[in-house]
Amino acid sequence: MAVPARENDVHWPKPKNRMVIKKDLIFPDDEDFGYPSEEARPSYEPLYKDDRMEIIDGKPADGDASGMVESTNRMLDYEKLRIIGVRAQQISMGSPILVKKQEGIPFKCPVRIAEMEFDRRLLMYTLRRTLPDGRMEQAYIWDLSIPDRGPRTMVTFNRKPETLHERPLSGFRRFYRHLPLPGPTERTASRSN
Amino acid sequence: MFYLLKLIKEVELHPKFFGPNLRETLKNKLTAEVEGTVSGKYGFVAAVPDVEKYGQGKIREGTGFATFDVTYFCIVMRPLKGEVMDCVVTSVNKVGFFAEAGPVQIFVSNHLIPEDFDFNAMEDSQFVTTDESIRIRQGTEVRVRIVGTRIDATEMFCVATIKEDFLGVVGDPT
Repeated sequence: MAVPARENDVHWPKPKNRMVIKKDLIFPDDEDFGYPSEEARPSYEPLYKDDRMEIIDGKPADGDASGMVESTNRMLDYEKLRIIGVRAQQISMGSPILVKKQEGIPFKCPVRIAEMEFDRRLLMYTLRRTLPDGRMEQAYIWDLSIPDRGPRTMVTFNRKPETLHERPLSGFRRFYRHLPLPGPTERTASRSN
Repeated sequence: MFYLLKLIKEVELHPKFFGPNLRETLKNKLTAEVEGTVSGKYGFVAAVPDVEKYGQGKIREGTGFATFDVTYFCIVMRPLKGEVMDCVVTSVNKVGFFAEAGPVQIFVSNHLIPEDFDFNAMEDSQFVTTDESIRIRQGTEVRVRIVGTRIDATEMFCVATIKEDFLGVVGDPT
């Protein structure tokens, strides 16, 4: 393995613009999130409804929490990420997972599993918001309308789906992964003998 | 005296139990935490016969744990002033004797023992009547009336008397 003699000899590439979201990469067409049809996929709803004051009998329809919460019946991107993060932590600490193992989907990354559970609507959390005047309001998460293709967690952000189960390289190795690992120097070579 | 109380306790649960047997695990954990402890407010918790309600879990920020408010019934033992109870003598010295009834420590002072009892240090320390018919020594079962109680966070302590009618030695080990 060739070790570069001096630092100037190395061609350090500029870090790529990592904020570019390649949609085909992150949401490949063959990846089905478990919705029965395209219509069942949750979508954004208007912030305020005109018929907000209507009295509804029984349980409100899915994605309709307008009579229950005071602030907004839309789940914020931050709340979605928080839910996925909390669930991922539980999974990493050994919580039983709610999705079935399938062929072709890597089941090693807890954040990925948490995202899949979220997308298939298997989680049963209640969201608790603090209003600016200190009062609390809470809503079952599926009573809120869910951000459809909002920001993803950093794990699935700009990574190929087939590499999602791999542990990301740490530190600068993540950016300069194409460079060879440094070989033994004169000082460390004698140590190994 | 024993009481049946309905109490509420926050039980913290590790994420690895967030599965099908969550309530069973909660009950086991609650029983392990509560049974056999002394609380200054209620006394000694002897048993948890039933759990009434498992509350909704709240996720602890950062740790991944969840806390559940569990409403449970428990049988509580608490000595009262004026209560008569049977106990077993554990040690005898010249100022009185110590006895215990389950978790309760009881002390019976020299002044609260009838006058015809004398302390005898010669053959393993004991209280003996003048006609040597009744002896109070280690292992003797005694019926006492509680005069005063003190319940700490971890132990219960009582002062008791046997200087009354129908109190005194109930049975002897020998």
